[in-house]
Amino acid sequence: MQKRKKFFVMLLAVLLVFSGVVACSKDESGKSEPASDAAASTTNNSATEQAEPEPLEPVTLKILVPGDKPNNLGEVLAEAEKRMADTLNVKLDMTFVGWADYGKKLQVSLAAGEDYDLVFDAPWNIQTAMIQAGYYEPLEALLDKYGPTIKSSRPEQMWEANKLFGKVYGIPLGVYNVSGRGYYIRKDLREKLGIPPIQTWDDFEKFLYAVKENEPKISPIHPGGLDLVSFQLLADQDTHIKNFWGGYTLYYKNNDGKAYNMFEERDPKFWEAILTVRKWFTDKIIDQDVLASGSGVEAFKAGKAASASANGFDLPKAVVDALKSVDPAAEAEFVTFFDKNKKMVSDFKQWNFMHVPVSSKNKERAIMFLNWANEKENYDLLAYGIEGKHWEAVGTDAYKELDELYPWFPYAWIWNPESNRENAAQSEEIRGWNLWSKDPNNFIEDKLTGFTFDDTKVKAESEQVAALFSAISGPLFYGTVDPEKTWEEYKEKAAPFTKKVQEEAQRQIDEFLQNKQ
Amino acid sequence: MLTRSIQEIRRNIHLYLLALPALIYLIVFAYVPMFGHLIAFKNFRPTEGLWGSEWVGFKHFYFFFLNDYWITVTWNTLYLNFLNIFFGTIFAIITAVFLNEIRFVLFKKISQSFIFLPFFLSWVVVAYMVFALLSTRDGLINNVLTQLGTDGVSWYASPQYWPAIITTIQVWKGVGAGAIIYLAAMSGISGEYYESARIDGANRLKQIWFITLPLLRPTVIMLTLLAVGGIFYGDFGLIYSIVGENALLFPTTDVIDTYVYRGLRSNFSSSAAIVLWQSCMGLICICTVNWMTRKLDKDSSLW
Repeated sequence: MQKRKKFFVMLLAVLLVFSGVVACSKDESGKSEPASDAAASTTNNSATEQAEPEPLEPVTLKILVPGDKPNNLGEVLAEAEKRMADTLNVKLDMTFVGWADYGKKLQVSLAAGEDYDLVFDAPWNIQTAMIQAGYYEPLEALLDKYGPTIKSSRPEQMWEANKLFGKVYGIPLGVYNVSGRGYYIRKDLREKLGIPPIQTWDDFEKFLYAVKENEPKISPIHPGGLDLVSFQLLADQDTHIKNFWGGYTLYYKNNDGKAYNMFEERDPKFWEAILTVRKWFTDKIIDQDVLASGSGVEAFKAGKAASASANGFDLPKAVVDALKSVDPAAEAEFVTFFDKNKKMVSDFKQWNFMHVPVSSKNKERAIMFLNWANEKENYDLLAYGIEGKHWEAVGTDAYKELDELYPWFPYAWIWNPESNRENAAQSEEIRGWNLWSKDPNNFIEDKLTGFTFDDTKVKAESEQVAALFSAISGPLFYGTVDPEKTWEEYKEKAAPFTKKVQEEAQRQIDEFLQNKQ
Repeated sequence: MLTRSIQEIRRNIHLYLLALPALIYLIVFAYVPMFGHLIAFKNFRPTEGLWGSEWVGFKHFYFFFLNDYWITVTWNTLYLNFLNIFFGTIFAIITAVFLNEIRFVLFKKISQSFIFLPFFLSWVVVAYMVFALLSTRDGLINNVLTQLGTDGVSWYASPQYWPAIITTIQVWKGVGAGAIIYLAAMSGISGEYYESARIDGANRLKQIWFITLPLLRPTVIMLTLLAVGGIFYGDFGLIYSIVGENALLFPTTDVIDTYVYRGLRSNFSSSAAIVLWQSCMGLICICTVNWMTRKLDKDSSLW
């Protein structure tokens, strides 16, 4: 028996060593990356110096972009490679990563020395931190040499406004001057309830309360992922309040070049928006599981919400189709509450950028490819698919989707004002909004256009507030907690750090404005 | 001393060979990367490499201790892990005992497989299952509650229930895997004990109580000790999949790992500092518990 027990204990020990291995491999994986990275990045650097390639040598460009892999992409890329075969000789290897994981994946890939040649990044993602950490190549020289079309397809003002830390680190992707925001609404329900077309925020509120009263099976609004506080403030054209840092903890207003501190001066617009969502949540207007159940647009597509907040001035075909497939009688419409008659302040910053990582071995070719892709006829291919199969032209500046769908995603790599086409299937109204947003004359230039806040000096404070804010932002901005109490608790913990960040920010702003004069 | 070790190795050479691959794995993937802990004391910038980055001392540890939220997350981590270890062990033992008592082999195998099945589900899948159960508007549980005439509960807005919910999920998912180890231990118990107990007139329950459970003790203690070593690591996969960014539940579910993930998405050094802190606390914990075990029962301790 003794022997048997001993044998068993040994066996168990072996078993546990194995299970230990499994557990450790999880724990250690994070730590092993940086070590291997050091080696990888040095090899990459030396490779870059050697690589002065023959221009026509075939090269495969690795591109990392967010989103789901589009249908029919293979076909489009094959056509693109065919067109480039004798000239650029570029093959394309595109990796798509879901929106939720994109930042993490991007950071880890580049830290681990993976040799991507073009990556997507954005101010709302981890762009600033990545530039500070030295991951992205400054592009002026490359663009001058290899990217004339990239440059000419975007107005000078866009280049100026989208410099980061005074340099062109990324190619701005976009055509609009304001980040469009609106709401998808169930038109069939609105008509059933006898409500006239929604024009104002108050109409909207009436609609939501009517849905609550009469349609118990459906949530009046599901703003999952796109909170209504930010939505209301983004459409504010009176005080021009603007988030600067930490979800309005520091903010700008009235375009006066000051960084305001919400703890010192609680902005009435901000607080009104907070109280509105709180009221809507307690009245069960806002879906009660909004924080747990992800995307509002998905809920709308599934017919579980009578309205949802959505980015852009747009009602994509995919949304309407998805809704119809659940309920053939359902109809959707788009509303937004901007006012075309009032000018807006804009810093002309775009929201999406294409970057060349310093670790890329094919920097020249990457820019040459983008230059090719920004030429109108090639842009048409990459943005809308194969003509006659996926789309057809309506004039020179619009297109119509055909039945076989190639999803629209130029915002992730090539979007520019010169080649862009509007979707002809959009309602007159939506098209009007997009034209309004495109025209710089509808906007007043922000005093701080071109300014980037460098938080290196207050990194610790900034991280503290980011962590504290992440614990309250959801509940506060979706109305699921008592705002007064939550705000005071947040203030108590975060105020001292915020003050430091504010002072540093104001110092940098003053310096920036002085240099500008 | 050395000759004795060599003798020992020679005598049990096959067992050591069996452990060799795992030991190599541990050295390569657990011991060598320990140099990575250095980045906790540096301003790590991947482009400059491990040695090129500048030394900053304990700066990165401040992030965690600068405000008192660290107490909440540390408490949650310990509390949730304690619940999991405690209930996980109890239910795994009960399940193993029950399975062990089944005499009809086919039924035993089938039920064992079914109990083991959840272990292979990914947390993401489990998260959807949980949402289908607990969603406020059309969750299964709220539907039953409304049928019974009560108001439903807003589960995703009520942090007080979540330690229980999380523990239930963890036990449900892990009980099969735990039971297998105890079953293996039970198969090592000699049939002679049970035979003589039966001759003395012990019934099934008495056999379990006086033979199976006492002989399981060393295994239980060993597994618990190892689990205690990880008590400062929150179950990130579970909590991030099911709770995610739902800040309403943070008061009871935010653990060190999720907090660090949210706060430090782009900072290797600060994350490394906290991982180092977790490891040190885990080491202290396991040493303390082992020391206590040794005081109480010398044979059962790990070393």
